[in-house]
Amino acid sequence: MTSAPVLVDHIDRAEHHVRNARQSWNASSSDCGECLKHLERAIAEVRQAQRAAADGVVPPRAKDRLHRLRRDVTSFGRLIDASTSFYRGLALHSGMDEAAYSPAEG
Amino acid sequence: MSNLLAILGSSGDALGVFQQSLNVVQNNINNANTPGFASQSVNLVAQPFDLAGGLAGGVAARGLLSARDEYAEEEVRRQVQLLGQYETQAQGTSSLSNYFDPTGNSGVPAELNQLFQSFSSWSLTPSSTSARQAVLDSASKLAAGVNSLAASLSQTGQDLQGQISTTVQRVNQLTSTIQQYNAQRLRSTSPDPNQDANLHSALEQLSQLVDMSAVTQADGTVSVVLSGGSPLVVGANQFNLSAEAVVPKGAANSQSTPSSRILDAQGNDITAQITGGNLGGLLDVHNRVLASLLGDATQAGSLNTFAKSFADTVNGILQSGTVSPTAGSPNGLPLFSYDNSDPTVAAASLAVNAKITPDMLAPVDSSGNANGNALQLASLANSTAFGGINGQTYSNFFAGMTSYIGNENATATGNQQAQQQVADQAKALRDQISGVSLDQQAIVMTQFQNSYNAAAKLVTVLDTLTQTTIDMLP
Repeated sequence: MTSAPVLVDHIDRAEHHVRNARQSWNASSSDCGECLKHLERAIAEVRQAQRAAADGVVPPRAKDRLHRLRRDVTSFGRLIDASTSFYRGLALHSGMDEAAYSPAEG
Repeated sequence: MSNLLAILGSSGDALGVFQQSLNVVQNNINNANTPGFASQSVNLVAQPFDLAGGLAGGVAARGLLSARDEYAEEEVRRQVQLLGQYETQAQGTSSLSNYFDPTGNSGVPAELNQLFQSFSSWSLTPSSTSARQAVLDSASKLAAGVNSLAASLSQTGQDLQGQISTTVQRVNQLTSTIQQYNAQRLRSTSPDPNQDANLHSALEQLSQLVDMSAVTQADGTVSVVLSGGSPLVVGANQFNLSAEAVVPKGAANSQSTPSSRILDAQGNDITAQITGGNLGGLLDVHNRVLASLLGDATQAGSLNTFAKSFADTVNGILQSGTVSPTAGSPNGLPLFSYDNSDPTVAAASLAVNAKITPDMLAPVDSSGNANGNALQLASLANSTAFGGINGQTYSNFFAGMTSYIGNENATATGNQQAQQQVADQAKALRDQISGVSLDQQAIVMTQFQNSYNAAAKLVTVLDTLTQTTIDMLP
């Protein structure tokens, strides 16, 4: 197998894991272990894609596929950010400042 | 005996209170699907118990408790407002992008290509009447294509203006509902659950239309102001908005497509204050995206720039040469005409010179080369040596317009899809925390934040890795 199809295969699988992470994400639940697993798998796939890209031939459209993957990741990131800001705002609103996560203190 | 009477009285009161509770539960069930309705419960308070003192205990009702959380309501409105903005941006840019074929196989790019081919054929047989006629025919088709595109964009502008007016009317209807709630609230001592449902339904609908914030006052009324600070409702007073399409007096481009403006109740221009909701999205597409193509009071618009520059270049080349190599031959006539009185009407008025005939086209350049001009015109297809816009060939400039509108649409559509998820999530979170005690919230909040933080970090790593991989590719 040449590196070209390998690269696309890894992007395919990364997209699949990001999609699964999105589906398993539930802002109303503290248990997002499944979601974290999918994200870790997606990261592993993108690392593999990076190695394949460094090794050899890059198939046409690979860059477009990666841009699409990045859009999906960005979109999912917005969802997580919205959840974080919601609860941070709620904590401040409720006067429970200590319950709010602080980037400086963790 | 007095104790027995006190106990009987207390029991009677308790039955009355429980009946009241049942009524509230029944009301909750009846309104389960009412937009904006939040479930309620009766606040039951234990009564003092001291038989010796004649106090028989029992319970009493002390008002109604609403499960509504105003913070969560405001958060939903904030996300819905963004969704409304992206929705209209996506719809508006989609309408505009329909007029630009990204393949370049139809519309203006195809007609431009056809004209270049006719110039090329003419350069091979510069004295051929049929080759000259083919140039005139192709030029006519290009002019008609540019006119048609300008007319379609202009029509879209009018449609957008109509939607803006309709949206402003809807804003005024909703603020009227809120004003009526306030008037009612000032007359009553406690909020009516059904009126409260109407109010919150109106606020959520309003947030989809325009970026605003709502603040509950001490007297129970709700003040609604635009994000820029202009009031919409304060107490029992409503402040109507209005929309108009105007070209400012004294504008450089007096014949341009009117810009859309929103005025407050005093007639002040508050357009700049409205950046969100459906109205913000519509204003953005009309006043920014469409104006960049079709022009406005201060800019020509890329389509007009294209039409004017192309006509000037072609006319300049033809007028610099002669109609035949014979000494004393007359100079060529301009191929195109357009209304030069205002830079924003060039595309709509572009036409083939009504006076020109095939024998008035000038293939001979100023140096006497028999096909010099025809070659220069043909070279415009892929060279900027004899003309172009901002260092681009005319074909590439037009492709840039197509790309611009395509990117605007892709960005708006992507934002809409992502924001739909965020808005749905905000509604789910609102339902999640409604009626939950602050103590319970404090516990889940800490748990959630740890999970969110872990997921956010992984997403950041994934995003960075993906970008790095993109950068590695040629």
